Parts: sequence; C-alpha cells; structure tokens
Amino acid sequence: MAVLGIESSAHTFGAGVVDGGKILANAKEMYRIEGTGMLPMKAADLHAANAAKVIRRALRQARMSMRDITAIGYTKGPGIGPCLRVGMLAAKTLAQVHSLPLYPVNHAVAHIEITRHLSGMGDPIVLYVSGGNSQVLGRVEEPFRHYNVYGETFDIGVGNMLDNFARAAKLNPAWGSSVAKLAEGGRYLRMPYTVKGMDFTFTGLLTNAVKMLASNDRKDVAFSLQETAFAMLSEATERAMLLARKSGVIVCGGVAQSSRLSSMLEAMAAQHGERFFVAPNEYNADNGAMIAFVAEQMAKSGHAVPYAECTVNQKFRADTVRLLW
Amino acid sequence: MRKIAEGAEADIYEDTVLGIAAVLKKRRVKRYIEPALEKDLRLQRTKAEARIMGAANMMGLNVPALLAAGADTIFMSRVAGKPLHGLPRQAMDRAMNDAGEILGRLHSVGIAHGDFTPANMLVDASGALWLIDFGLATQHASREDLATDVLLLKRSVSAREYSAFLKSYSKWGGSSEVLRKLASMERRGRYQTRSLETR
Ligand SMILES: Nc1ncnc2c1ncn2[C@@H]1O[C@H](COP(=O)(O)OP(=O)(O)OP(=O)(O)O)[C@@H](O)[C@H]1O
Ligand SMILES: [Mg+2]
Repeated sequence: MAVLGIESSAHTFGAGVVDGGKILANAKEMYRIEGTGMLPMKAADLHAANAAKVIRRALRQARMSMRDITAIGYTKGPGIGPCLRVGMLAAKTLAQVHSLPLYPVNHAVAHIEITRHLSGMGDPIVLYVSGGNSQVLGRVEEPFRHYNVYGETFDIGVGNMLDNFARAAKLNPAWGSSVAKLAEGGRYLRMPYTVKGMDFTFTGLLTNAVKMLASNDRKDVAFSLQETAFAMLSEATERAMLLARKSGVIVCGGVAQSSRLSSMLEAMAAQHGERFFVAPNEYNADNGAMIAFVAEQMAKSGHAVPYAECTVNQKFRADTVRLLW
Repeated sequence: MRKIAEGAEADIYEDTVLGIAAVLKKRRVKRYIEPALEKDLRLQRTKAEARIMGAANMMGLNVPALLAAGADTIFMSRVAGKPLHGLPRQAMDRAMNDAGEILGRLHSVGIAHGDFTPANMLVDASGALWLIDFGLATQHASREDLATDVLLLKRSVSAREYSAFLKSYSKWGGSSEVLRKLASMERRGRYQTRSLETR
C-alpha cells in the first residue's frame, strides 16, 4: 500500500510517500524565522500557500499520482494550532475527494518510529529532543503497548534553550547549530547541572549561561552550556536504559542533528556495550515521510479513524498513543 | 572484594570493615562527559552522598551508616534487604508507609533525596524500609526540590501504593505546602496530559 503523509506542526510543511516501509518521497518547504521568532499565523499562511505544491512534488518524487495512494496520514499534534490545522485540512480534503482512510499521527511517535525502523533495533531506549520537547522514552506493554516517558524536562525543551542562548549571544542565525559552531575549541566553565532521577531542567542553566556572557569568552560559555546540557540528557538516557533494561540507544528530533550530542550518546552506549543509532538529518528535521511511515503501520493494524474524529491536539502526548504494531 | 551490584552510576562491592558487613560504592568514570565536568560531578556527588547520608543516619533514619569516604568511593554499612520489586501487597503498603515517614523526616530538616524511587529502597527481613543512594540529595532544598521527590515516587508506584505513602508523609506538618507545590508543578503543563499511568 502507498501512503501519503502530511506534516505541518511547526515551521515546516512536509509531504512524504511510504510503500511497504520503503520511503519513496520526502518533500518540504520551510518558513524561515527572522528576527522576531516564529509568527504562528504567518507560518500557517505560508503552509497553506505551499501545501499543494509540496504534495505534488512528493507524488512526483514517488513517481505516483493520487490514484496510487491508498491511505493518508497527517500530524495531529503536538504542535502549533494554526499550523497543525493547515495539514489536517489538506489531508482531510484529499482523503474525502479520493475516498481514502485517514490516520491522525503523533509527531513524536513518528520521529521515534521512523528512527527505530531505520536503526533495525527492536526495543531501544529513546531520547527525543526538539525545540519544545526533551523526553526519554521506551516501549512498555502494560496496560497496553505504548511509549512510556521515563524522564523529561520539567521546564523548557533543550532546543528552545539553545535558541534562546543563541539570541542572547547575538548569533546569526539564532539556532542551536550556531551555538555548536561557536563552541568549537571552547574551555569548560562550571555551570549548574540539574538532573532529578531521570528528569532534568534547563532554565537555571540558561539563565546562568546568559549572565556569564558578560564576563567570559563567548566561546567558553557556549562550549560549557552545550557540554552541560548534553551530559544531562545523556545521563538521564543512561539511567533509563539501565533501569528499564533496554537494549540500544536511539536519538531523534531536531536537536538530534547535533553531532556532539550523537557522539556523546554513542560513547555512553559503547561504555555499556550497546549500539547507538541516529537517522540522517532529513528525518530529524520535521518531515512528511515519518508521518506516512506511522500511518502505514496504523493502516496495517486496522486503526482507521472516522473523518469527524480527525482533529488536531496541540498538546498530544506520545505516552497516550496506543501502538498496535 | 566481590561486586554485588552495578547501578547506573556506581559499582557496589561487598566487604567487611572492622567486622561490620559493609559495601563499597565506587562511582564509575563516565567517559562520555567532558572530563572536567565529569570529575566535578563524580566528586561532588560522592561528597554530598557521604555528608547527607551521614546526617540522615544521625537522625536515626533507616539509611546505611557512613564508615569512610574517599574522593569517589564510600564505605557504608551493608543493608540486609531485598528490592521492593515483587513484594506482596501488604508488605508493599508497609514499605510505602515507611517511605512516607522517612521522607517526611528528611524534608522536615530541608533534605531532598533527589532520586526518590523504589529502585533506591530496600526492605529488610522484618519488613522495614531502608533508603539508599543519596548521590543526588541536597541540603537546604527548595520547596520545588522537595515536591520533586514526591513527584518521582508518584510516577513510579501504583495509585494505591502512592496513597499508602501519602498517609504517613502527610503527618509531617510541612507536607501540605509541598503537596501544594507539587500540584502547581503538575498543572504547569508537562504532566497535565499524562493521562496514562502505567504502573
Ligand atoms: N548499603 C547498601 N547495602 C546493601 N545493598 C546496597 C547498598 N548500597 C547499594 N546497594 C545495592 O547496590 C545497588 C546500587 O546502589 P546505588 O543506588 O547506591 O547506586 P547508583 O549507581 O547510585 O544507583 P542508580 O542506579 O540509582 O544511579 C542498589 O540497588 C542495591 O541493590
Ligand atoms: Mg540507585
């Protein structure tokens, strides 16, 4: 079966096609954040303008037409309301016009599942790190199969923390990747390190780092901030892996594009004789292929949802999703 | 010395010190963390653990006695106990009742445990609960630190076990303020839609 997946939870509108677990297309258009940060309505308008174009491009990449598509998936959440609604409406319209079943997909579960699929691992510990989210998860069978959150941020996501620091340090673009570039060759300065069990917090670290910019080399502050934040995440992941007896470590989500985070997690896994996997960047950035992938899993396990119940949920948590595959 | 356990952070060996059944807890070097930061963490946690476990022991609580501490090693008395996992219902209720009492006593002097989950508790032959692993503990803890202890436990036990814990924890006068803080943390969003409790 060929499944079309539509993603629009934040600044990316993406469309992907998957057939039997094989990724045939992954097209996208991004809303470029300037100065002020993200304006939800402007992003949603841009998604609406790009929707048809991106979907057509995905079908062309897959060498298919809508007639070849047998099911459609879209991102139900979590994400930004106006943005989510554009993708939901596009998916619903196409499904109704072509009489296709529709599958609402959880964005976090999609990042996790496409990564797990590409890794070939069965039951790894998962670190999901994006702008707004930072969670350590793993599959649990009771009371039904789902991703349990073993630990998570008590305040902000690690991505937003890095973006905020980048803005305070006047980096351009104000993203995590700029912090990584600045951090190269930095020296370690002491910073607050807050892990509680398998949970963690980032605001104290951020506030401290921004203050330290005034009287220290920016390079050293960026280096120490990044090392501290990633060590907190790696430690929480290590704890969860050992306590839950998981085998293998995967990382996914926007911040998984950081090579320093990956190398840290890889070394952590190696210390326990475990494998580590991170997917190519195109799957860690928001994308439609992962939505198509999960929609196909849902379709194969008979999980169709009536059109009327296909809504969006800005706070849709991964641990509320029942996995039927 | 025989290794008896591998925690997430440390290796645990059993030994006898001056005729006392003891364990040696040695923190492993985490090679994946920036070396200066890693050393800071290892030494600081060992120091905090020795100091705070010692203080809790002086209060007469069921925690190991501190025998000696090095830079990243601690000698402590060995608890003759079993993990909570798989305890029958009544024994579990008793353990949770003890957990509430111990945590109330620690919180009343401003100590937060920092990793207050069943993985860091043992039950002895008489059914009494022992609390171990003070590596993430803090003295002069904020109300949020105290509430975090309660939250960590709440998330890792069943609703019935949690209510057994609450019954004795609530006997401590300051508990209502901590529980109010906990409620506000749960409202803060991260937890509000966690509708699915699995254990
Ligand atoms: N004093 C003690 N007496 C008996 N057993 C102990 C004692 N201290 C530790 N243990 C055993 O060793 C295990 C690990 O100890 P501890 O929790 O202190 O290590 P850790 O590495 O800090 O733990 P974590 O895995 O929580 O990070 C415990 O679960 C327990 O089985
Ligand atoms: Mg422990």
